[in-house]
Amino acid sequence: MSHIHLPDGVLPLWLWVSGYALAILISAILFRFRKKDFMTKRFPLLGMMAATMVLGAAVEIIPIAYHVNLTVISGILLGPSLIFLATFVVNVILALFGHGGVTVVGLNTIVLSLEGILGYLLFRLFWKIFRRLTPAAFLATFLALLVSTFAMIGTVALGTTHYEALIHHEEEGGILGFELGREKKEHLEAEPKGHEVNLRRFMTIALSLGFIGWVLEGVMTTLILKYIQRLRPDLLRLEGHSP
Amino acid sequence: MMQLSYLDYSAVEGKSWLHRLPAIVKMVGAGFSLCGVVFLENLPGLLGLYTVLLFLFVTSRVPRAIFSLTLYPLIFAFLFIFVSGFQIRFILLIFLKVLCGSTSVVLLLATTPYPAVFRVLGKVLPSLFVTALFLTYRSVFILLDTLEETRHALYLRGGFQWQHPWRSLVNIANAFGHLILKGIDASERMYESMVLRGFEGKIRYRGEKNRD
Amino acid sequence: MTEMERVVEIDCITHIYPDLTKVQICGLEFVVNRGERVSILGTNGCGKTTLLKHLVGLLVPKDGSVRVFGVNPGKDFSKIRNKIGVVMQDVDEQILGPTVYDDILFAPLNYGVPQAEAEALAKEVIERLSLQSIAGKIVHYLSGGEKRKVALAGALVLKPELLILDEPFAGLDPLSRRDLIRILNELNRDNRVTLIMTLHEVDLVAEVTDVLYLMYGHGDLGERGTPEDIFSRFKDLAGFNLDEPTLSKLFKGLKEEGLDFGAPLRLDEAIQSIKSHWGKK
Repeated sequence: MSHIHLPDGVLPLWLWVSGYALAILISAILFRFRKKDFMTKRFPLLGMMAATMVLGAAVEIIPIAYHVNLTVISGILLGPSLIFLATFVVNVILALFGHGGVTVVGLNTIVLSLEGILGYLLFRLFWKIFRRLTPAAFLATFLALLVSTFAMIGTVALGTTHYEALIHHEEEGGILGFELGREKKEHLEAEPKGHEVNLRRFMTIALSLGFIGWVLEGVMTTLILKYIQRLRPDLLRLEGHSP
Repeated sequence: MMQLSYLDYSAVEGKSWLHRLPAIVKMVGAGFSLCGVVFLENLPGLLGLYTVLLFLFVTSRVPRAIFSLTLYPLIFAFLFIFVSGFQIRFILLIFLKVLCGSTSVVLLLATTPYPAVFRVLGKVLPSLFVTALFLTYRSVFILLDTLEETRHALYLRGGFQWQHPWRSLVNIANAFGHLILKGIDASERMYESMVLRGFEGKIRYRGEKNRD
Repeated sequence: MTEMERVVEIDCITHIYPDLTKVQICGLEFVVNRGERVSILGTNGCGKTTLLKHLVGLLVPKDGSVRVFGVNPGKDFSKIRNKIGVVMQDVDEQILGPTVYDDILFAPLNYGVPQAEAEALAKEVIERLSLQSIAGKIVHYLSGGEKRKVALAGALVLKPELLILDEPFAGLDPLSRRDLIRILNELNRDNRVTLIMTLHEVDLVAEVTDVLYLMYGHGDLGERGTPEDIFSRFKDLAGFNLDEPTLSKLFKGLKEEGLDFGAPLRLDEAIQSIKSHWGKK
């Protein structure tokens, strides 16, 4: 569970603007240093893999809002440079469908493409070590998602002071004044104890749910890659593996 | 998943006053709404914004089935309950921000055909990115048919059975594998068509300025 | 047809696919003259689509030669690209634009035709194919027949001299089929567009074909001639695993019963034949 389905307006302005700036910068660097015909020749493939990720996000596998990410698979099939653009496009489209905020598209792109790129690199590494698809695919996915979940938590953590400000924000005659009044008094009376923002609890929940997601995604990725290996092994470009 | 095609269909076939407004006006409106979501930090303000959006939703006669799309992000907003230490005001603030944000964009896409939205984006974004957006959106609908057919086939042939979770998971994985391979084949044919129709590294769409 | 300028020449080509499937198209030289309507009949998987892909440089033969407008398309397709329009079998991936109008504009804009001129070309072909009612429609809401017409419009917009179609009638209802036949024949008659198509529908061959090639299951071209010539010798064609056209079967059967109305392959010819024979009686 690394896709930040964070709503707009929760993360501080500087954080999501930085996310956009960084995503745009990385895209610009990739376009500049990659040959144009390499990019454009693979555009239809990028479109199709991005479309597959969009559809994966739309299909609930298990009714706890778990859906397949397909980022690691896309990373393996597209390679590191194209996966970045693909995730950028996917996040824009998902944001337009209401799956996550528009302002967090930049941050989501960075986190998800990290997942895709790490998945690609780890898959290659574990294939060299194990020479077997199952452990390579499962471990690559599990670890890539683990890292990206921590990246997501880290991103959320960066906005701590902003959440505190939101929590402590003065209300001027709001409709829930009676409740707020009471809460506000308690906050004013009590010594600020550390911070009301409880990131530890958030992290515990995120990692617990995340762990289930990493295992499920690892299993799904492995099964899908085995299917692809059976029918189109050339797509995986595995060293020392002849079709 | 059906909601994706429903959303698109609503945008194309809808005839309300909101559908008839130019895309740029609606996108600016959505932009203002998102600014409200980002900068408003009081409940009455956000509640007012949400009320306006709901009013627009109702008066534009967008199908009710699409409304559930706006609620989906709430699942993840629940996580923020744990950040705040169960503070009611903060939770309500987050939920309203979620609902206002998702309702704004869903309303935009439910009343504006995607070519119009992407064309407006094309005026400010790099052409390569907009091309990728167009191709991806087109590909979603090519693959959607395949996914639907595969799902139906699995359903009719006992591919999903809760009593056999492992087998069902394998079948679902195979379905996605099939989708990916079909997508890759389709992308190769799509590239062949592009080449046959003049593609030489840059796709030019209607209304796009030639900036090379 | 007075000119015999060769537009296409293929001589015994061999292609090997990535999965090591070998397709060899030999037997007869495949020749198409300007202004001809050429059809290729053969069973599924015999190599018809492979042959067409060689014509547009999508495949390059391992052995043998391919020349289109005097050029090797595998090497120099860009020199002849704007003379050729293509409608492949699966039209979904051919339709690239978000709306019908955008899709028809795709080729002109990408060939560098100025916007205004491109729009004029698009409007012309929309009118020709009666696509006005769907010009603004988003492509994924088109019916199968509409998609095929849009793909055809996209192929015709730059007024090609050669039109290549892979199973153009597949999946079409009878009315759409009639419409497509009319359009193709008009293009050939009025604009001298050379047509090359692969077909399964034997009953339609006579309506859209001047020269018919039959392909064996293993890829070789076995017969070349007019539809009347080939179907009159149908008993000799068992090796091609084809079905005989309905009208051909009918009139052969009538002949065996002593009623000789000739061997028409088209409905209008059949009606005329019966009328004239009945008149004589």
